[in-house]
Amino acid sequence: MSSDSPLDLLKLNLDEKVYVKLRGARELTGTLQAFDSHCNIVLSDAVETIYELVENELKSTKREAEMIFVRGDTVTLVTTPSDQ
Amino acid sequence: MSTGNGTVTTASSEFLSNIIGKPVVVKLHSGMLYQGTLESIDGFMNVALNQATEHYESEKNGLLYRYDGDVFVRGTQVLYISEA
Amino acid sequence: MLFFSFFKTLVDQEVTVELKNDIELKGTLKSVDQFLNLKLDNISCSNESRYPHLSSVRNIFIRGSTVRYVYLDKNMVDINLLQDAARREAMSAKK
Repeated sequence: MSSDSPLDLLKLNLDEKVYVKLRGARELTGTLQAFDSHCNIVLSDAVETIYELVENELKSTKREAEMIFVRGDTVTLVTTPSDQ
Repeated sequence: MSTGNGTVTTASSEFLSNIIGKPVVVKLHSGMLYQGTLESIDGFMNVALNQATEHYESEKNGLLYRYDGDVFVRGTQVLYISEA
Repeated sequence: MLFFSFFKTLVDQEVTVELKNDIELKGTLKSVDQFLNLKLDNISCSNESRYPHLSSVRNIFIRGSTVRYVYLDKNMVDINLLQDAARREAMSAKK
């Protein structure tokens, strides 16, 4: 199961559901359609969740996108989702 | 020294290849801390972890999340990697 | 190079670009370069009330680094072609 490069992990996840953690308390789940070495990503059937503190209460906002390009510089982590 | 395809050819590469398969701690600029088994690493400090747990700042600060699948962490976000 | 080629296939299509400062612009993609800088024509701002200063701008050059997301329609992309291109890119990336 071990691969020689961490980016190979993303290759194994192509056409699979992934969970992407972004900077600024944002996260996305969706089907991985494409990625490159900068971690630019295209997801289909994506759901974005944004977490915010409003008057000291944690609030989350969801947004759906049928196809979305994510610029790699905000990506911090990619893994397979397990009902996060 | 780092070449175009991201392979590092110095003492740091010795450290990095020696800790593969070992439990490591990866700290990000955001303060997020990941503890897991190092699957692979490349010259950009991209990291693949197995059985990763997520903490904020320190492992003493409690478990935020346990990732069941392999986790890819983007190199540009990494502050340090240390043997746990 | 993958996403440069990808965006070239989207030229003349209507896309929505979300910037890192939360501004959202919908317009026709007119051109793209290797930095993924984008040129949009005939833009409208989806959240104009919050950003009224763009209301008189019709076409715009966006520096690639300021982009957070680009929202696309499913019918704009050939999923099989894109996945194959991503696999090939991943192969070529490691020498």
